[in-house]
Amino acid sequence: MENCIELRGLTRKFGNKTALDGLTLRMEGGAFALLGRAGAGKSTLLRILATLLKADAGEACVCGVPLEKAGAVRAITGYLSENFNMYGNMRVREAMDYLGALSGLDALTRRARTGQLLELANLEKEADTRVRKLSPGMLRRLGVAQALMHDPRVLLVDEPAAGLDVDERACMRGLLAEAATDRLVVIAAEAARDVEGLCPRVAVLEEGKLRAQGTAAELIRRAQGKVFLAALPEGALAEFKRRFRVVSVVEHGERRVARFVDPTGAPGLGRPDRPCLADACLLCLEGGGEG
Amino acid sequence: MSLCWMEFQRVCRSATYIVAVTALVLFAYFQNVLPPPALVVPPGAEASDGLAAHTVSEEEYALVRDVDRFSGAHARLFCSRLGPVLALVSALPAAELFMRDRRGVRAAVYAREASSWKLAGCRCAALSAAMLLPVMVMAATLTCVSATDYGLGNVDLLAYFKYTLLWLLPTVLLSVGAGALGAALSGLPLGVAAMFFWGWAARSAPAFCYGSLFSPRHEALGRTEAFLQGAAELARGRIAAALLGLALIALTVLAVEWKRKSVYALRVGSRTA
Repeated sequence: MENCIELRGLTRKFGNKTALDGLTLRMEGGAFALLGRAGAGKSTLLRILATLLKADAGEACVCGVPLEKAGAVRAITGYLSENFNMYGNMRVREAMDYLGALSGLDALTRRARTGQLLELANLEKEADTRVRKLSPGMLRRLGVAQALMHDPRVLLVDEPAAGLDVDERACMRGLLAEAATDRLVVIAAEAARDVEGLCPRVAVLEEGKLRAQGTAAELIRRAQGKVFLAALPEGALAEFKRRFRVVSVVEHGERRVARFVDPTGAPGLGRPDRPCLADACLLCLEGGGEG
Repeated sequence: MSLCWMEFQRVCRSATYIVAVTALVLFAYFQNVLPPPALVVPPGAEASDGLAAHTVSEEEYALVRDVDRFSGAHARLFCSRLGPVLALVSALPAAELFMRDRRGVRAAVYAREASSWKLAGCRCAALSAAMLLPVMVMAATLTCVSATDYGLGNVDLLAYFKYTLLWLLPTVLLSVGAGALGAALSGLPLGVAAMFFWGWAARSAPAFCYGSLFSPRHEALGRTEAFLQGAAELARGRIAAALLGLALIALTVLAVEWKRKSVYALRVGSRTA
């Protein structure tokens, strides 16, 4: 069975809020990105797939194993939550050993895997450091390493770059790219830049529903002709933001250049610019990406 | 076994365990069971080596010598004195161990393949073993003391261990179960509070009270006949305590399973804990 995740009509509610609303999706390939704003349902989906949350309705299979068989699913999935942490007084090596034991690995395998994964995560020098003394970047890398401890077929990663500086983000991207060479890695992120160039396939969620899916190249192609740059006079930014969906604003000396998207492709001002994945994602959410 | 051993090491390194063991040893010392302050002697006899003597009647001395083989009588008092403290302090490391499973840690641990029975079961087994360890060390020490005081061939070398397992182990199971369940359900040391409240309520129990679930009492050195008369009640009480302790541990497993699937989950602010 190939490494893939299939969802059919997956639904989950928290009181009056619908986190997932009949989501149907197939995720496969090396690295797969789940994009969307905060509250889109990305984290809820990953928690359901990690068997840490039960869906209210619908079905899901991980590599052909239904989620009802929680033990079997946990054996083939690794999960890195957004707020990953470990017992503070444990040393890094002990934490890996402990989590490996919880995954049913024998002592020899745990020792070998710990050495390999700490090297992969560039943490071999921190092996005897207590977890509470790790920097945020080191802690996230430990999170990836522990999720790979039992060599899962699917790796679920929630906001891998949250709280990381530029160097750590690059390091994390490299780690996830390596992990994706022989397994399915599902990455949930709010910022498309965290997955651009890493994930060939993307799904965009909004309010628990699927807004768009496809390859990153396809989504970017659909955004062609809908991304613009416009130089703004002093004091015009606030009004401009009311008219258009601004992606970013850059200061060039005394001028401000706003990068914005317009689903109609005819805003009447500015010049077209090459779209990136973030633009494509925003257009999908604004209804201009034809999901 | 590997996971149990790791949990055992975690327990032994925890602050509450060190506090619990310290409290246990100090209490045993100040309650005059470590070492025992007196030897059992018949009327008209004196204790050797300048030790204090606890004089009993001829009939009672015969029972202490032949049935208890001296160490059994001391072990009974040891368990009676230590039981209430053990019932209170055993809940502390149990609560701490389960309270450490907070948010980010919980996701990492609960997403593993190990079943909730294995996860919680290994923890409770490790907790019970860890709490019995200092008691067994004291038991071994006191066995040596008894052998020295009464003569190696005159004592039951296994008396302290038998009494520890049959008298104190159910108390440990009950306390560990209460501490673990309270923390697993609520993330708070509710089980510890419950055990302290129970202990306070049981503080005025009579000196000879064999059926108590919290901790049976035999507040005398000797009095073997009274013990033999209450032995059946003691056995029933200890079996009930052990079963209740195991039931609490089973409920802890269920609580972990519920939390794992967020069927039972506490909301913290706007997010589910």
